[in-house]
Amino acid sequence: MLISDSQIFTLLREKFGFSDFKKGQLEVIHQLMAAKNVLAVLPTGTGKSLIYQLFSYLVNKPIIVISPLISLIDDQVAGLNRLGEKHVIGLTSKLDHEQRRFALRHLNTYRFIYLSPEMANQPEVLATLKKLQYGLFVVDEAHCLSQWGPDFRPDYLKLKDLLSQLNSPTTLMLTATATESVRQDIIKKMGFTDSTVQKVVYSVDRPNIYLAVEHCDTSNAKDEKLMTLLQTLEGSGIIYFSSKKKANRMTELISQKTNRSVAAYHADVNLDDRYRIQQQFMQGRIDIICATSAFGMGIDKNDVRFVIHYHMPGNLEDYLQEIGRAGRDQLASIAILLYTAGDEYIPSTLNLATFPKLANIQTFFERPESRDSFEPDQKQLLDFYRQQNVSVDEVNEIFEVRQQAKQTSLLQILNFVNEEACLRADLLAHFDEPAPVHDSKCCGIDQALSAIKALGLDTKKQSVPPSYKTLNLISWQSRLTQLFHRKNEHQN
Amino acid sequence: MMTKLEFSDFLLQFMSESDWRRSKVFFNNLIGRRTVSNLFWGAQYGLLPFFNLFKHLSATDFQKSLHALSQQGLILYQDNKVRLTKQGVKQKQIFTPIIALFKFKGIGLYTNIETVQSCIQLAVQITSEFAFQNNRYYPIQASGQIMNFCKKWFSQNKSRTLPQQLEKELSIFLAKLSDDDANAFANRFIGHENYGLTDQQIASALEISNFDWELKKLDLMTQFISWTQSDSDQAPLCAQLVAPWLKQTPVSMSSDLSYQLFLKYTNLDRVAQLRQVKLNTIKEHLLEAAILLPDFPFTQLLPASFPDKVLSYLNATPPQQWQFATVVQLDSKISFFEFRLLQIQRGPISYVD
Ligand SMILES: [Zn+2]
Repeated sequence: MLISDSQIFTLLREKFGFSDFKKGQLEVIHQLMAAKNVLAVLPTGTGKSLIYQLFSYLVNKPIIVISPLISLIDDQVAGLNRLGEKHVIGLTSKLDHEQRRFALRHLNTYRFIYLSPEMANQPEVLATLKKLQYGLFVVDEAHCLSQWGPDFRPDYLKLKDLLSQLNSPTTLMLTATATESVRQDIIKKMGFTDSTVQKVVYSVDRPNIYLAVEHCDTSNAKDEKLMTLLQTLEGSGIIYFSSKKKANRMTELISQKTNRSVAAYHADVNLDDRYRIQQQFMQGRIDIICATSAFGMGIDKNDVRFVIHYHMPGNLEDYLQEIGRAGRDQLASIAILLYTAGDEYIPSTLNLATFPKLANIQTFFERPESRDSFEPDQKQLLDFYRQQNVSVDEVNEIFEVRQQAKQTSLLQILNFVNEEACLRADLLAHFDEPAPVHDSKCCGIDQALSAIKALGLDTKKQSVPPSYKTLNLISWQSRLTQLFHRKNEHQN
Repeated sequence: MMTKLEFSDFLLQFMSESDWRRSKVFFNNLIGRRTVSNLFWGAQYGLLPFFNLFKHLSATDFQKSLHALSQQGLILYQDNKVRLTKQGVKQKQIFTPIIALFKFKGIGLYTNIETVQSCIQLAVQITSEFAFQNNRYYPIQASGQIMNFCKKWFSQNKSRTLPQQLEKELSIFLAKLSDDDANAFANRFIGHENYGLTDQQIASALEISNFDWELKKLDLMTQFISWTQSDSDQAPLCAQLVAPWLKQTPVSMSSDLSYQLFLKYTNLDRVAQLRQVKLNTIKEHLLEAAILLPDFPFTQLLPASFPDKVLSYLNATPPQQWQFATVVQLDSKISFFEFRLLQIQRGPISYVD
């Protein structure tokens, strides 16, 4: 491909409005232009999707992107729309029959085709996909391929077949977190060998995020600690919870006890409100979001100053991903994990519920009429293995291995929580990276408040709460004027 | 301090102290599951005005509300059946007058209110961004169908004066409402660099519960929809956004087709033949029409008379408590279809309150 870097930079400026690449981006683009398959491990917040988005304007052939969550696909589609790109489709179960037919009939008109893996398994979809020539095959969140990783998705295993049925276009596997063994596993599961894949691996470390763990004796003490932290911290932040109910309850408590504007953000919040919350958060009208860990979030806000885990996530991969929402502007930020003894039972009970027991697997396989009574997630999982002609015993074994892997992941994050030396060294060791030099801006245990001050992340006197925090409805007449009149049209 | 209206108080409205009611019927009506049995019992319990208005209600949350009511001693809850206690009757009465203010008229039988709502929101956003000559923005997320529909609406109406026209139409509607209602409705809009208020924010500004606002919001949308119908010449832009999603009859399309054929041929077998479906399916279709339509010709389908034994049983018992098994013992010729029709004819049917 005869394209110069200056052309690439022009594209970067004109399509995306950036003057420079973040680390890893240009290197991967160069490899793709040389038609090399790439496994890219780039830390969160480095704009992984920009790589293939920009590349699509270089190859001018459709690009297929496999993504595990509908919410992630929606975010990507919306993001591209915002950039003025209209030739984007998200092929997900959200489409109704009619829309899906329309999309499939016009598939060749799209530049970006986002796809959930279970969609690619549908014969009608596959038949249409096979008719096109692709410029690139992208596997987003590629760590979902690995059974060693905590986010394994069995339907990702079919991607290898899909790839060959699509005439094996150049493939880009993207992830923010992958240990060495997971990387090897990804390559294997995609049907590649080590020598046919270029690896672009950057440290997962985010040095501008201070890591803190706070141990609290009781859950009341934890709530009080949280309030103190929120009264001390300045700027925008995200707090992660393991349940929607807890997120709702704490949202209420925070708005009563602090003068901060706060909103809950999870699957029960309707689409319009999610949009409003995202936008208000971007504008700084809402400064704290209480989210559930399991929920994808399309917020690309550069100046998130803190991420707090009210409940610890189930594994270090998720932890890294979630704290990665802080400090994308590269300025000092802080990640605080609040822990009370026994917290580990919350995610672990969630984990145990994920996998069906042997007796249930048997029922599912032998009595078709029972299948509808299974939880949708379990049903999807079991259906997958049944269609693959895996036997009951084998399925049970797979689940036991997966269960074991989840337990191991949980123990690893528990070790992190109970670490007595450098937290960052512990975290990086998990990703097979060497220990960094520990200094005062690196990490700390049970000293978050003083760290906040030392890092300059504390509130600077401004004691009068901004007026927008007292909520008033604007009169409908003014609201209509705001919506439909440019300022220069109405001076009064 | 006044007690705030919660979802569980709303549920109490459909329960009674005198009979056990099936909780499944409540749930199925609220989420809009359209089967004859649901509609029939929904009509008996007074649920039809609220049919299909709570599509996102989860079975778990619903169960939790019932358990909470039972724990507070307001209801008895066993074998998926519910019944009010004395205390429950009192609690129910506190909110009956408030709930009565909401006039949904079974809107959920005619349309999916959420779809209409998304269309209005998206159309306002597109028009607002257009007014500011901005075409780089995040559109509100909606289904592809709604997105395409709104894009088409925009390209058909695109002109320099579109923003002013839409503003004028909305003003006509908002001026008809109380100030609080109009402000709440308008503060939900999402537009250029101004993203409106979330449900939570509006509820706290109005100092009402989230659920109360939920009902209020549905009520305002219902008023909006009927306004676009009655004043369509004053509000062509809004009418275009609403009309395609609105059926002209509360009956489902398939049932309506069977019903129209029946009115024409008055012969069930003929209708089944024409529609190439089983006779039983046609009967189900007609039962749906009988439940939902005010002028159903019951006499054409019911025998001219019943044996005296049957009549005295039916007259002595409220229709809701009739037992088919008992009736069959008194007269072996009566079919379940006829039994149900009679029950519908004599039962308290009102969803257009
Ligand atoms: Zn350290």
